[in-house]
Amino acid sequence: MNIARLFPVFSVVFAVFYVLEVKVMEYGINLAAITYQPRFVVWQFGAQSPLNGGPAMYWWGWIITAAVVAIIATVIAGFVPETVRAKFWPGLTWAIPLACMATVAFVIRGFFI
Amino acid sequence: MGNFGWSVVLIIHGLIAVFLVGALLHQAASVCWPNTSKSQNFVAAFRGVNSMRYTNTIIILFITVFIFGSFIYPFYRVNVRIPLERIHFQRVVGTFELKEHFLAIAFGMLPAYWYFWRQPLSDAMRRARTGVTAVIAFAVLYAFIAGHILNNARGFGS
Repeated sequence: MNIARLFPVFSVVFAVFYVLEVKVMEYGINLAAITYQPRFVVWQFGAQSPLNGGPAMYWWGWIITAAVVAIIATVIAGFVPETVRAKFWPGLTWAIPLACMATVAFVIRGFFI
Repeated sequence: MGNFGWSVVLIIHGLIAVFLVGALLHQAASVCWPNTSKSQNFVAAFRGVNSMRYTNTIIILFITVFIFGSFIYPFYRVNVRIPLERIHFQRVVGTFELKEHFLAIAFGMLPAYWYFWRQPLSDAMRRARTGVTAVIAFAVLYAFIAGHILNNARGFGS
C-alpha cells in the first residue's frame, strides 16, 4: 500500500488533537511532551511548571504530542480497508483543520474581549 | 546573542516569509480562481501561474520559516510578551497566540498538502487540493500580518 494515501489522516488527526490539547489546558490538563524554560534555556520531558516564576513554553510539546498521536492514528488507518476509507469525503482534510482553527480562536477569545 | 543578532534573525525570518506568502498566494489564486481567459493583465497573470511547480518550494519555505520562527519564539516569550502583558496589550498578545496555533495546524497539514499536489494530479482530489491550499494560505497570511502587527507593537529597536 502507498503510505502517502494516509497522509490526510495524519493531518486531520494532528489538527484535532492539537486543538484538544489547547482546550484541555483550561481544565489544568497539559499534554505537552516537552517543556521549554526560556529564561533558563532548559528543556524538560513532559509538562512541567515554570521554573522560579519564569514562563514555561509548551508549544513544541503540544506539536510533538499531536504528531505522535497522529502517527499512531495513521498506522491504525492503514489497517482499515480501502473501501471503507474511500467513503470519507476528501474535503475533510481541509474542512476539519479549518474548523480547528475556528475552535482555537474561540478557545482563546479571552485575549480579545 | 544580542539584540542586533535577534533583529537580524527576525528580518531573515520576515524575508523568507515574504517569499512564502507570495508563493502560496500565487498557488492559492491559481487553484481557487483559475485563469481561463486569454487576458494578460496583472491579476490574470497572478492567477495564471503553473501552480504545480510551487509545491515543494512552498513546503521547504514553510519549514524554513517555521524553524526561524521557533528559534525566535523564546526571545519573544521573555522579552516581548511579558512587557506587552504588563502594559495590557492583550489583543496583540492574543493575535500572536492565534498565529502560533494556526501555524501549528497548518504545519500538520503539510503531509496532506504534499499528497494532494503530487504528480500526476488527481482530478478527483481537485477540491480537496484547493481547500487544503486555501487553508494553509489563510494561516500563513494571517501569521504574516500578525507578525507585522507584533513587530509594530514591540519590535526592532524597542
